[in-house]
Amino acid sequence: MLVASSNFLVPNSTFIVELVAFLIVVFILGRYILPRIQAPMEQRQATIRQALADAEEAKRRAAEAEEEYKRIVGEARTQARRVVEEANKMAEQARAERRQQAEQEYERIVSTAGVEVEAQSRRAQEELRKQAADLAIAVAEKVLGEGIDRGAQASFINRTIDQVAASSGVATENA
Amino acid sequence: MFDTSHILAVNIPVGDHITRSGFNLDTIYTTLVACGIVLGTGFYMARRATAGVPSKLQLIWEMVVGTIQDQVATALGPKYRRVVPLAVAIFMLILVADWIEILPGLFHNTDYAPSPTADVNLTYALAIVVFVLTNAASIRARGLGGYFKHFFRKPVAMFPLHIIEEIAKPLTLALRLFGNLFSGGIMIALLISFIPRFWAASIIFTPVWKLFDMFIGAIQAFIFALLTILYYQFAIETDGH
Repeated sequence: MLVASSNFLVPNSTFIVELVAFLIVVFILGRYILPRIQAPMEQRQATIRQALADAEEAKRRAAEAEEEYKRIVGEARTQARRVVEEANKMAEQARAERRQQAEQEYERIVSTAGVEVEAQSRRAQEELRKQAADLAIAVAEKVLGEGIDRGAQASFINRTIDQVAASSGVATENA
Repeated sequence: MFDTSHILAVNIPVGDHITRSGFNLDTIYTTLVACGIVLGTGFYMARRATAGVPSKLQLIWEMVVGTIQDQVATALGPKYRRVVPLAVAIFMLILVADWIEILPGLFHNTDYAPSPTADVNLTYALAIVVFVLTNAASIRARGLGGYFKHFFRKPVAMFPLHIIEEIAKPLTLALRLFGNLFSGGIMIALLISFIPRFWAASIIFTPVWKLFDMFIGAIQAFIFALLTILYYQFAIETDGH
Protein backbone atom coordinates (compact mmCIF):
# COMPACT_ATOMS: atom_id res chain seq x y z
CA MET A 1 0.00 0.00 0.00
CA LEU A 2 1.36 3.39 -0.86
CA VAL A 3 0.19 6.94 -0.59
CA ALA A 4 0.17 8.24 -4.13
CA SER A 5 0.34 11.91 -4.91
CA SER A 6 0.15 12.00 -8.69
CA ASN A 7 -1.92 14.67 -10.51
CA PHE A 8 -5.19 14.61 -8.66
CA LEU A 9 -7.17 15.82 -11.70
CA VAL A 10 -6.35 12.66 -13.64
CA PRO A 11 -8.56 9.66 -12.93
CA ASN A 12 -7.19 6.16 -12.39
CA SER A 13 -8.69 2.68 -12.21
CA THR A 14 -10.90 3.85 -9.35
CA PHE A 15 -13.06 5.52 -12.00
CA ILE A 16 -14.35 2.10 -13.16
CA VAL A 17 -15.33 1.10 -9.62
CA GLU A 18 -17.05 4.45 -9.02
CA LEU A 19 -18.90 4.23 -12.34
CA VAL A 20 -20.13 0.69 -11.66
CA ALA A 21 -21.11 1.58 -8.08
CA PHE A 22 -23.06 4.60 -9.27
CA LEU A 23 -24.86 2.66 -12.03
CA ILE A 24 -25.79 -0.04 -9.51
CA VAL A 25 -27.19 2.63 -7.17
CA VAL A 26 -29.22 4.16 -10.03
CA PHE A 27 -30.52 0.74 -11.05
CA ILE A 28 -31.50 -0.38 -7.54
CA LEU A 29 -33.06 2.97 -6.72
CA GLY A 30 -35.08 3.04 -9.93
CA ARG A 31 -36.10 -0.60 -9.81
CA TYR A 32 -36.72 -1.39 -6.14
CA ILE A 33 -36.82 1.72 -3.99
CA LEU A 34 -38.44 4.59 -5.88
CA PRO A 35 -41.57 2.68 -6.97
CA ARG A 36 -42.20 1.86 -3.31
CA ILE A 37 -41.92 5.55 -2.40
CA GLN A 38 -43.87 6.87 -5.35
CA ALA A 39 -46.84 4.51 -4.90
CA PRO A 40 -47.68 5.60 -1.33
CA MET A 41 -47.03 9.22 -2.32
CA GLU A 42 -49.54 9.00 -5.15
CA GLN A 43 -51.94 7.07 -2.95
CA ARG A 44 -51.68 9.72 -0.25
CA GLN A 45 -52.20 12.47 -2.79
CA ALA A 46 -55.27 10.64 -4.06
CA THR A 47 -56.51 10.30 -0.47
CA ILE A 48 -55.96 14.00 0.13
CA ARG A 49 -57.70 14.89 -3.13
CA GLN A 50 -60.60 12.62 -2.15
CA ALA A 51 -60.75 14.10 1.34
CA LEU A 52 -60.80 17.61 -0.12
CA ALA A 53 -63.53 16.62 -2.58
CA ASP A 54 -65.50 15.04 0.28
CA ALA A 55 -65.11 18.15 2.37
CA GLU A 56 -66.29 20.25 -0.55
CA GLU A 57 -69.29 17.97 -0.99
CA ALA A 58 -70.09 18.09 2.73
CA LYS A 59 -69.87 21.88 2.63
CA ARG A 60 -72.21 21.99 -0.34
CA ARG A 61 -74.66 19.68 1.44
CA ALA A 62 -74.51 21.76 4.59
CA ALA A 63 -75.23 24.88 2.54
CA GLU A 64 -78.16 23.10 0.90
CA ALA A 65 -79.48 21.95 4.25
CA GLU A 66 -79.27 25.49 5.55
CA GLU A 67 -81.14 26.76 2.51
CA GLU A 68 -83.79 24.09 3.09
CA TYR A 69 -83.98 25.00 6.76
CA LYS A 70 -84.38 28.68 5.93
CA ARG A 71 -87.06 27.86 3.38
CA ILE A 72 -88.96 25.68 5.84
CA VAL A 73 -88.71 28.25 8.60
CA GLY A 74 -89.90 30.91 6.17
CA GLU A 75 -92.84 28.76 5.13
CA ALA A 76 -93.67 28.01 8.75
CA ARG A 77 -93.59 31.70 9.53
CA THR A 78 -95.91 32.50 6.65
CA GLN A 79 -98.20 29.70 7.67
CA ALA A 80 -98.20 30.84 11.29
CA ARG A 81 -99.01 34.35 10.22
CA ARG A 82 -101.87 33.04 8.11
CA VAL A 83 -103.19 30.94 10.97
CA VAL A 84 -103.06 33.89 13.34
CA GLU A 85 -104.79 36.08 10.77
CA GLU A 86 -107.50 33.45 10.26
CA ALA A 87 -107.92 33.04 13.99
CA ASN A 88 -108.25 36.80 14.37
CA LYS A 89 -110.77 36.89 11.58
CA MET A 90 -112.74 34.05 13.09
CA ALA A 91 -112.63 35.66 16.50
CA GLU A 92 -113.81 38.93 14.99
CA GLN A 93 -116.58 37.12 13.20
CA ALA A 94 -117.59 35.24 16.35
CA ARG A 95 -117.59 38.49 18.28
CA ALA A 96 -119.75 40.16 15.64
CA GLU A 97 -122.15 37.21 15.67
CA ARG A 98 -122.37 37.24 19.44
CA ARG A 99 -122.93 40.93 19.39
CA GLN A 100 -125.65 40.60 16.81
CA GLN A 101 -127.27 37.80 18.81
CA ALA A 102 -127.10 39.87 21.95
CA GLU A 103 -128.61 42.83 20.16
CA GLN A 104 -131.39 40.64 18.79
CA GLU A 105 -131.95 39.19 22.27
CA TYR A 106 -132.07 42.67 23.67
CA GLU A 107 -134.53 43.74 21.02
CA ARG A 108 -136.61 40.69 21.68
CA ILE A 109 -136.57 41.20 25.45
CA VAL A 110 -137.32 44.85 25.08
CA SER A 111 -140.19 44.22 22.68
CA THR A 112 -141.57 41.36 24.83
CA ALA A 113 -141.43 43.60 27.84
CA GLY A 114 -143.23 46.37 25.90
CA VAL A 115 -146.02 44.01 24.90
CA GLU A 116 -146.31 42.78 28.47
CA VAL A 117 -146.40 46.29 29.82
CA GLU A 118 -149.00 47.25 27.25
CA ALA A 119 -151.14 44.22 28.08
CA GLN A 120 -150.86 44.92 31.79
CA SER A 121 -151.63 48.53 31.21
CA ARG A 122 -154.61 47.56 29.15
CA ARG A 123 -155.76 45.14 31.81
CA ALA A 124 -155.34 47.82 34.43
CA GLN A 125 -157.32 50.27 32.32
CA GLU A 126 -160.04 47.66 31.81
CA GLU A 127 -160.10 47.04 35.53
CA LEU A 128 -160.09 50.69 36.26
CA ARG A 129 -162.83 51.37 33.78
CA LYS A 130 -164.95 48.58 35.19
CA GLN A 131 -164.45 49.79 38.72
CA ALA A 132 -165.15 53.39 37.68
CA ALA A 133 -168.38 52.31 35.98
CA ASP A 134 -169.41 50.35 39.02
CA LEU A 135 -168.53 53.25 41.22
CA ALA A 136 -170.42 55.67 39.03
CA ILE A 137 -173.46 53.48 39.01
CA ALA A 138 -173.27 53.02 42.75
CA VAL A 139 -172.94 56.73 43.22
CA ALA A 140 -175.81 57.35 40.85
CA GLU A 141 -177.96 54.81 42.66
CA LYS A 142 -177.24 56.53 45.92
CA VAL A 143 -178.05 59.89 44.41
CA LEU A 144 -181.14 58.83 42.58
CA GLY A 145 -182.27 56.51 45.32
CA GLU A 146 -183.44 53.83 43.04
CA GLY A 147 -182.11 51.18 40.81
CA ILE A 148 -180.64 51.91 37.58
CA ASP A 149 -180.80 49.68 34.65
CA ARG A 150 -177.15 48.65 34.56
CA GLY A 151 -177.38 47.35 31.10
CA ALA A 152 -178.93 50.51 29.77
CA GLN A 153 -176.43 52.76 31.48
CA ALA A 154 -173.29 50.84 30.93
CA SER A 155 -172.72 51.97 27.39
CA PHE A 156 -173.27 55.53 28.41
CA ILE A 157 -170.84 55.30 31.27
CA ASN A 158 -168.24 53.69 29.12
CA ARG A 159 -168.56 56.39 26.52
CA THR A 160 -168.13 58.99 29.21
CA ILE A 161 -165.06 57.33 30.58
CA ASP A 162 -163.62 57.20 27.08
CA GLN A 163 -164.24 60.85 26.64
CA VAL A 164 -162.56 61.62 29.96
CA ALA A 165 -159.69 59.37 29.08
CA ALA A 166 -159.33 60.98 25.67
CA SER A 167 -159.30 64.43 27.17
CA SER A 168 -156.66 63.38 29.76
CA GLY A 169 -154.48 61.75 27.03
CA VAL A 170 -154.89 58.13 28.05
CA ALA A 171 -154.97 55.67 25.16
CA THR A 172 -158.46 54.10 24.94
CA GLU A 173 -158.39 52.06 21.79
CA ASN A 174 -160.83 49.50 23.14
CA ALA A 175 -163.54 52.03 24.09
CA MET B 1 5.17 35.19 19.94
CA PHE B 2 4.15 32.09 18.09
CA ASP B 3 6.67 30.06 16.24
CA THR B 4 5.17 30.30 12.75
CA SER B 5 7.81 28.11 11.15
CA HIS B 6 6.10 25.09 12.70
CA ILE B 7 2.78 25.93 11.04
CA LEU B 8 4.37 26.57 7.69
CA ALA B 9 6.01 23.19 7.94
CA VAL B 10 2.68 21.36 8.41
CA ASN B 11 2.28 18.71 5.76
CA ILE B 12 -1.27 18.77 4.47
CA PRO B 13 -1.86 15.94 2.02
CA VAL B 14 -3.32 17.47 -1.12
CA GLY B 15 -4.85 14.94 -3.47
CA ASP B 16 -3.21 12.05 -1.70
CA HIS B 17 -4.93 8.68 -1.73
CA ILE B 18 -4.23 5.27 -0.35
CA THR B 19 -3.67 3.52 -3.64
CA ARG B 20 -3.10 -0.09 -4.62
CA SER B 21 -2.77 -1.19 -8.26
CA GLY B 22 -4.27 2.09 -9.49
CA PHE B 23 -7.28 1.89 -7.16
CA ASN B 24 -7.82 4.62 -4.56
CA LEU B 25 -8.87 2.39 -1.70
CA ASP B 26 -10.00 5.26 0.53
CA THR B 27 -12.28 6.65 -2.19
CA ILE B 28 -13.68 3.20 -2.98
CA TYR B 29 -14.27 2.50 0.70
CA THR B 30 -16.09 5.81 1.35
CA THR B 31 -18.05 5.42 -1.90
CA LEU B 32 -19.24 2.00 -0.80
CA VAL B 33 -20.17 3.42 2.61
CA ALA B 34 -22.14 6.21 0.89
CA CYS B 35 -23.85 3.71 -1.46
CA GLY B 36 -24.61 1.51 1.53
CA ILE B 37 -26.18 4.40 3.45
CA VAL B 38 -28.27 5.50 0.45
CA LEU B 39 -29.48 2.00 -0.45
CA GLY B 40 -29.78 0.92 3.21
CA THR B 41 -31.99 3.84 4.23
CA GLY B 42 -33.81 3.49 0.91
CA PHE B 43 -34.66 -0.18 1.47
CA TYR B 44 -35.38 0.34 5.16
CA MET B 45 -37.77 3.17 4.31
CA ALA B 46 -39.32 1.41 1.28
CA ARG B 47 -40.19 -1.63 3.39
CA ARG B 48 -42.03 0.55 5.89
CA ALA B 49 -43.41 3.08 3.40
CA THR B 50 -47.01 3.86 4.11
CA ALA B 51 -49.66 5.92 2.41
CA GLY B 52 -50.77 6.99 5.87
CA VAL B 53 -48.66 9.12 8.20
CA PRO B 54 -45.06 8.81 6.95
CA SER B 55 -42.02 8.37 9.20
CA LYS B 56 -39.36 11.09 9.26
CA LEU B 57 -37.10 9.01 7.02
CA GLN B 58 -39.92 8.44 4.54
CA LEU B 59 -40.71 12.14 4.68
CA ILE B 60 -37.10 13.04 3.78
CA TRP B 61 -37.09 10.59 0.87
CA GLU B 62 -40.50 11.75 -0.28
CA MET B 63 -39.36 15.36 -0.15
CA VAL B 64 -36.35 14.59 -2.35
CA VAL B 65 -38.27 12.37 -4.75
CA GLY B 66 -41.25 14.76 -4.87
CA THR B 67 -39.06 17.81 -5.60
CA ILE B 68 -37.15 15.99 -8.34
CA GLN B 69 -40.37 14.57 -9.81
CA ASP B 70 -41.86 18.07 -9.97
CA GLN B 71 -38.66 19.45 -11.46
CA VAL B 72 -38.54 16.70 -14.12
CA ALA B 73 -42.26 17.04 -14.88
CA THR B 74 -41.92 20.83 -15.31
CA ALA B 75 -38.71 20.81 -17.34
CA LEU B 76 -39.06 17.61 -19.36
CA GLY B 77 -42.70 16.52 -19.22
CA PRO B 78 -44.19 13.18 -18.21
CA LYS B 79 -42.39 11.33 -21.04
CA TYR B 80 -39.09 11.60 -19.18
CA ARG B 81 -40.10 10.05 -15.85
CA ARG B 82 -37.11 7.71 -16.23
CA VAL B 83 -34.81 10.66 -15.46
CA VAL B 84 -36.19 10.73 -11.90
CA PRO B 85 -34.20 7.72 -10.58
CA LEU B 86 -31.00 9.12 -12.12
CA ALA B 87 -31.49 12.54 -10.55
CA VAL B 88 -32.53 11.05 -7.19
CA ALA B 89 -29.48 8.74 -7.21
CA ILE B 90 -27.21 11.68 -8.06
CA PHE B 91 -28.65 13.86 -5.32
CA MET B 92 -28.73 11.26 -2.56
CA LEU B 93 -25.34 9.74 -3.36
CA ILE B 94 -23.59 13.12 -3.61
CA LEU B 95 -25.32 14.37 -0.44
CA VAL B 96 -24.29 11.36 1.63
CA ALA B 97 -20.81 11.28 0.05
CA ASP B 98 -20.32 14.98 0.85
CA TRP B 99 -21.47 14.53 4.44
CA ILE B 100 -19.10 11.62 5.07
CA GLU B 101 -16.46 14.31 5.44
CA ILE B 102 -17.83 15.30 8.84
CA LEU B 103 -16.95 11.89 10.26
CA PRO B 104 -13.52 11.55 11.85
CA GLY B 105 -11.27 9.89 9.32
CA LEU B 106 -9.29 6.68 9.39
CA PHE B 107 -6.94 6.82 6.47
CA HIS B 108 -4.85 9.93 6.61
CA ASN B 109 -2.52 11.52 9.01
CA THR B 110 -5.26 14.08 9.59
CA ASP B 111 -8.40 13.39 11.49
CA TYR B 112 -10.98 13.45 8.75
CA ALA B 113 -12.56 10.99 6.34
CA PRO B 114 -12.22 12.34 2.81
CA SER B 115 -15.42 12.55 0.81
CA PRO B 116 -15.40 10.30 -2.25
CA THR B 117 -16.64 13.39 -4.08
CA ALA B 118 -13.29 15.02 -3.27
CA ASP B 119 -11.81 12.51 -5.72
CA VAL B 120 -12.27 13.19 -9.45
CA ASN B 121 -12.84 9.47 -10.06
CA LEU B 122 -16.36 9.64 -8.61
CA THR B 123 -17.24 13.05 -10.02
CA TYR B 124 -16.01 12.09 -13.49
CA ALA B 125 -18.02 8.88 -13.29
CA LEU B 126 -21.19 10.81 -12.42
CA ALA B 127 -20.57 13.40 -15.12
CA ILE B 128 -19.81 10.79 -17.78
CA VAL B 129 -23.11 9.03 -17.05
CA VAL B 130 -24.97 12.33 -17.34
CA PHE B 131 -23.05 13.23 -20.52
CA VAL B 132 -23.78 9.89 -22.22
CA LEU B 133 -27.45 9.81 -21.20
CA THR B 134 -28.19 13.43 -22.16
CA ASN B 135 -26.53 13.01 -25.55
CA ALA B 136 -28.43 9.77 -26.09
CA ALA B 137 -31.66 11.60 -25.24
CA SER B 138 -30.67 14.36 -27.65
CA ILE B 139 -30.10 11.85 -30.48
CA ARG B 140 -33.40 10.16 -29.67
CA ALA B 141 -35.29 13.47 -29.66
CA ARG B 142 -33.64 15.07 -32.71
CA GLY B 143 -32.50 12.06 -34.72
CA LEU B 144 -28.84 11.48 -35.50
CA GLY B 145 -28.86 14.13 -38.27
CA GLY B 146 -30.60 16.64 -36.06
CA TYR B 147 -28.14 15.92 -33.26
CA PHE B 148 -25.11 16.80 -35.38
CA LYS B 149 -26.92 19.63 -37.10
CA HIS B 150 -27.68 21.36 -33.81
CA PHE B 151 -23.94 21.97 -33.29
CA PHE B 152 -24.09 24.06 -36.47
CA ARG B 153 -27.12 26.03 -35.45
CA LYS B 154 -27.15 29.77 -36.08
CA PRO B 155 -24.79 31.55 -35.84
CA VAL B 156 -22.92 28.80 -37.69
CA ALA B 157 -19.51 30.36 -37.06
CA MET B 158 -20.00 29.59 -33.37
CA PHE B 159 -19.95 25.84 -33.90
CA PRO B 160 -16.53 25.29 -32.23
CA LEU B 161 -17.96 26.99 -29.16
CA HIS B 162 -21.04 24.78 -29.31
CA ILE B 163 -18.81 21.72 -29.29
CA ILE B 164 -16.68 23.09 -26.47
CA GLU B 165 -19.86 23.92 -24.57
CA GLU B 166 -21.00 20.33 -24.91
CA ILE B 167 -17.68 19.04 -23.58
CA ALA B 168 -17.57 21.70 -20.88
CA LYS B 169 -20.89 20.57 -19.45
CA PRO B 170 -19.69 17.27 -17.95
CA LEU B 171 -16.27 18.72 -17.13
CA THR B 172 -17.74 21.60 -15.15
CA LEU B 173 -20.24 19.26 -13.47
CA ALA B 174 -17.41 17.04 -12.30
CA LEU B 175 -14.87 19.71 -11.40
CA ARG B 176 -17.35 22.01 -9.61
CA LEU B 177 -18.31 19.22 -7.25
CA PHE B 178 -14.74 17.98 -6.88
CA GLY B 179 -13.34 21.48 -6.26
CA ASN B 180 -15.84 22.35 -3.57
CA LEU B 181 -15.40 19.14 -1.61
CA PHE B 182 -11.66 18.94 -2.20
CA SER B 183 -11.07 22.44 -0.86
CA GLY B 184 -13.42 21.74 2.03
CA GLY B 185 -11.29 18.73 2.92
CA ILE B 186 -8.11 20.79 2.76
CA MET B 187 -9.70 23.36 5.10
CA ILE B 188 -10.51 20.62 7.60
CA ALA B 189 -6.98 19.24 7.36
CA LEU B 190 -5.62 22.73 7.90
CA LEU B 191 -7.84 23.38 10.93
CA ILE B 192 -6.83 20.07 12.45
CA SER B 193 -3.17 20.81 11.87
CA PHE B 194 -3.65 23.83 14.17
CA ILE B 195 -4.18 21.56 17.16
CA PRO B 196 -0.61 21.46 18.56
CA ARG B 197 -0.31 25.25 18.75
CA PHE B 198 -3.79 26.74 18.41
CA TRP B 199 -5.95 23.95 19.78
CA ALA B 200 -8.67 26.40 20.96
CA ALA B 201 -9.07 27.86 17.46
CA SER B 202 -9.13 24.36 16.03
CA ILE B 203 -11.78 23.15 18.47
CA ILE B 204 -13.97 26.17 17.74
CA PHE B 205 -13.54 26.43 13.99
CA THR B 206 -13.41 22.76 12.96
CA PRO B 207 -17.08 22.08 13.83
CA VAL B 208 -18.09 25.45 12.38
CA TRP B 209 -16.32 24.65 9.13
CA LYS B 210 -17.71 21.10 9.07
CA LEU B 211 -21.26 22.47 9.44
CA PHE B 212 -20.60 24.98 6.67
CA ASP B 213 -19.14 22.17 4.57
CA MET B 214 -22.35 20.17 5.10
CA PHE B 215 -24.26 23.14 3.76
CA ILE B 216 -21.94 23.35 0.74
CA GLY B 217 -22.31 19.60 0.27
CA ALA B 218 -26.12 19.87 0.17
CA ILE B 219 -25.94 22.79 -2.27
CA GLN B 220 -23.53 20.88 -4.54
CA ALA B 221 -25.76 17.79 -4.51
CA PHE B 222 -28.73 19.96 -5.42
CA ILE B 223 -26.83 21.78 -8.18
CA PHE B 224 -25.58 18.53 -9.73
CA ALA B 225 -29.10 17.02 -9.79
CA LEU B 226 -30.68 20.24 -11.06
CA LEU B 227 -28.08 20.67 -13.83
CA THR B 228 -28.59 17.05 -14.88
CA ILE B 229 -32.29 17.80 -15.42
CA LEU B 230 -31.44 21.07 -17.17
CA TYR B 231 -28.94 19.37 -19.51
CA TYR B 232 -31.66 16.86 -20.34
CA GLN B 233 -33.94 19.79 -21.11
CA PHE B 234 -31.33 21.40 -23.40
CA ALA B 235 -30.79 18.02 -25.06
CA ILE B 236 -34.43 17.42 -25.96
CA GLU B 237 -35.35 20.97 -26.96
CA THR B 238 -35.90 20.98 -30.70
CA ASP B 239 -36.19 24.73 -31.29
CA GLY B 240 -32.43 25.15 -31.68
CA HIS B 241 -31.72 26.80 -28.32
